Amino acid sequence: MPSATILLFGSSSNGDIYRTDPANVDDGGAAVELRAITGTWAPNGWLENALYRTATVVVSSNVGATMRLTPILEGNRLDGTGGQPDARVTFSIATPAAAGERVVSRIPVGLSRPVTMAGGSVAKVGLRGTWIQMLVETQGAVTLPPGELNADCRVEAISVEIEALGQTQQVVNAG
Amino acid sequence: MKQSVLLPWALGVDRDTGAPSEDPTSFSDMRNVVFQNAAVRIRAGLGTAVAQLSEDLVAYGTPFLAYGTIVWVIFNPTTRAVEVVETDLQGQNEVAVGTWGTLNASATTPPRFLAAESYGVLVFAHDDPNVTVRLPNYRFDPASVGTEWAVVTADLDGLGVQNVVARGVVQHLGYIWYWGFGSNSDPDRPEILRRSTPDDPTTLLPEAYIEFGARLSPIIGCVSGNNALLVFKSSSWYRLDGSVSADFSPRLVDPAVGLVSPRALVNLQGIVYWWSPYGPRSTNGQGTNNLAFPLDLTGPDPDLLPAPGPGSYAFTFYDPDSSSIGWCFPDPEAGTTTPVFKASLRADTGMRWSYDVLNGVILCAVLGSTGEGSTLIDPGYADPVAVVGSAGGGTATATITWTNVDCVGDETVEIWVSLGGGAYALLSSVPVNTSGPQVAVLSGAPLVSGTIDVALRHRRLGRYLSGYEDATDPSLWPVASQASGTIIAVATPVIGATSYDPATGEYTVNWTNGDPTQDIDLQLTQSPGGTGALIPLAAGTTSYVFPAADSNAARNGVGFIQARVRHKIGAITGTWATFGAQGLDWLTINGVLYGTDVQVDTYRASVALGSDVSFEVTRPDAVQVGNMTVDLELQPFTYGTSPANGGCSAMTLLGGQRFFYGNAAALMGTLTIADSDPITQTMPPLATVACATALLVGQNISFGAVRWVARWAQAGTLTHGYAAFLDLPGGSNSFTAVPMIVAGP
Repeated sequence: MPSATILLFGSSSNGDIYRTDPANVDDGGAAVELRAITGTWAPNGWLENALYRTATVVVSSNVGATMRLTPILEGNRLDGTGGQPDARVTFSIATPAAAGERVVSRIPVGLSRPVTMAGGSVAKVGLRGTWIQMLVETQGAVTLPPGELNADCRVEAISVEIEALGQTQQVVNAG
Repeated sequence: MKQSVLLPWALGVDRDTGAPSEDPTSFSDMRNVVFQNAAVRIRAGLGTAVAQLSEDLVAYGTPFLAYGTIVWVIFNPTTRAVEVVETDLQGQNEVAVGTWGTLNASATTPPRFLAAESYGVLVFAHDDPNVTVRLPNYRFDPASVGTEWAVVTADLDGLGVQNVVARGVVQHLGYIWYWGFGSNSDPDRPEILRRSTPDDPTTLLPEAYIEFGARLSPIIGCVSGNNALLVFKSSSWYRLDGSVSADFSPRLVDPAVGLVSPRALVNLQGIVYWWSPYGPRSTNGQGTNNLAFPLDLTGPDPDLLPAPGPGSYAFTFYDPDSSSIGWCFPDPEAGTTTPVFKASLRADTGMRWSYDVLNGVILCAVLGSTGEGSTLIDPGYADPVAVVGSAGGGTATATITWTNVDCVGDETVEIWVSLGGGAYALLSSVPVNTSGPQVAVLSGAPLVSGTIDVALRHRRLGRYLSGYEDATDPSLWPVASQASGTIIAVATPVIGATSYDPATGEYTVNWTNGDPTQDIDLQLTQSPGGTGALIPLAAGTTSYVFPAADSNAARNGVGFIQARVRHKIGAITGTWATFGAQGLDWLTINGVLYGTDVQVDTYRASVALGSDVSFEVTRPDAVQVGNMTVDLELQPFTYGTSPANGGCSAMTLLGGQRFFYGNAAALMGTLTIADSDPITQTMPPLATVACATALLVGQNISFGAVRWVARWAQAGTLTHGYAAFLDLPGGSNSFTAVPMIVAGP
């Protein structure tokens, strides 16, 4: 049951009064985007490497959404900028067919980075490093099915498949 | 060996602990989320604007709990006008409350405001540190019809009533507390906290104030906490304990932590949360708890989070649905978005932090509702309306009758009037009466003769029904709420000097016309002689001489003469203005029988033998001034010679018995009346009675009437005699006004 409580916000322009409403997916036209960066996680200790193979994101939603997962390896965001490889993965949550439907999606996301040679990608290898973070975000506004007045998109869980590696292996494979 | 590790989700930001020892379940950044137990959901958006108030900048909003509305302070950056408007709990249906003023050119912009409510009155303050540019405090009291929006005044220095210009206001224990103002002669006292009287949030007494800390160290904000008022400065905070004026006492609690903005604090379930210059803090009233560690506010700024604006504009909101507090940091100068530091208070997992980024520069937040009562009920209306103007003398009146339709019962009915086709004006406001047709009577100025057009509209919580909003021309309101009539107001002349010549009988009267365009009637009354015929006079006449020939011959030397004058319009006459009588007027005798054994039956009263009989003689003001002599005589009374108005019905029923006092002559007396003073005469006891039957011998004497004669003389030429009957009506032992009979000089 929708709450009767609303928050009203007074703006500095046009005399605008805004109100929170679960049917709203934007702030005055600017999409409301969820964004979360996990804390650092060193699954094999701070001296040992680990191999990060797959992440699984669990999303429970009554709206459609486009989401993106960006690994952050040892503090480096693997988004293709700053000389880092682009390991971002974008995936979609389908918009339910009708209002009131709720879909739980388990999305496996391969964690890899391309191996380039002569300017071209020749292979992909798993991510490895001492610690990792995950940036999870929605892209643009979520999409309400017809008649839906209560947008509820939840990230229920995220898990990472890892394989512990020794420090020597890290050195050997480095570079 | 491969393993899959679940990252617990939704425990909030922790930027402070440090990576090596950080709990892997915490987050370095969470944005635009609402925490569930083990999940996060995307927060609700603000959508498109649900309303646009009448000025560009919405500086402040506050719920008005007594009336279930929201009151907003809005600002026009171009004209610098500060207006106050009211909406329903959904921010819609704007109605003007009042104009606060024009912001001084040196005042901080955009301006910041505060409000506090008590006794159904909302008191406003302009939170500008410079008292010389600060707007005075105003109060909004919808119950004060006609003066709903008014400045708060007080005499705080003994030099007269002046505006109160406090920087902030807060409600605590039903009082409204004002801070940052000394008095009109010593205004810049930012360390002073003043208190209203307990029963009136806008009455301030000079002695009701408390100083906090060093002089000129400003109080930034206050909040009502657990059994205490918490008073914050920029780098310290105090608590004010006590509940009545006799025991309020301040105490410094924390000398190192203060507050950035009076709106950056909130009391939730006994815990006060606020934003200090060093980040968020909380207290249960006894000490300061640091909530800022997870945010690592001195570390690198969160990724892509807009820079917070000045702390002075920070404000707090509480979202009960998500049990979270948000601290917003708008940057009115340079911001395009508003960062929010949000703390979830879901009790099962403790406080969890996240960030929101609101699009646009948001300056205030108010908790509203879409629930029951959130939309204001429209006022009703009047249908039909009728107006009847007075016709005649006296004060001009207009009687307006209407039926209230669709009224809740708390509306105010505005009565707008146009006279003679002129502009409408609001002449009266009356509470609605839903029990039946309602009547209001307008009286006196500015009502005048001519057409009167009336238009009625109902106001409820400052709102009007659609179609009635525009007060510039009430004739455009629905016709069912309008009516027309006519007032015929006959003026009343003002009497002037009179003169009377007893020798010739000439009698001159002068007057001033109430309306020189209205015709005049004049009339003479004489005693003896009665009331004469009307003498019509032309409009504008101001005097008249009654010649001797007009007078009753008997008047000269007896009785009195008196004239009166009135205006008239056609056949509609006004109120008589009566000149003072000339001559001699009636005496009036009033009295009370004092008996100890009064027998009362249907027909007669009786007085015990031996009882005194007291009565009073007064001389009406109409007689000529000067002392006079009154002879009083108690005469024998016989049924057979009783005058017609002697009130002798009781005697008839007694079967023709004849009663008299045997020693009447001995009861005669002489009195002197000085001017208009009444005199009281006590007749000696009834001593002797002769009775035709043995029935009453030795018993109480019963009688139907007693006849006294009052004979009085004016010094000089006039001597007149009057006889008075004191009638003893059956069933009563007291005299009433007594008719008098002229007996001749």
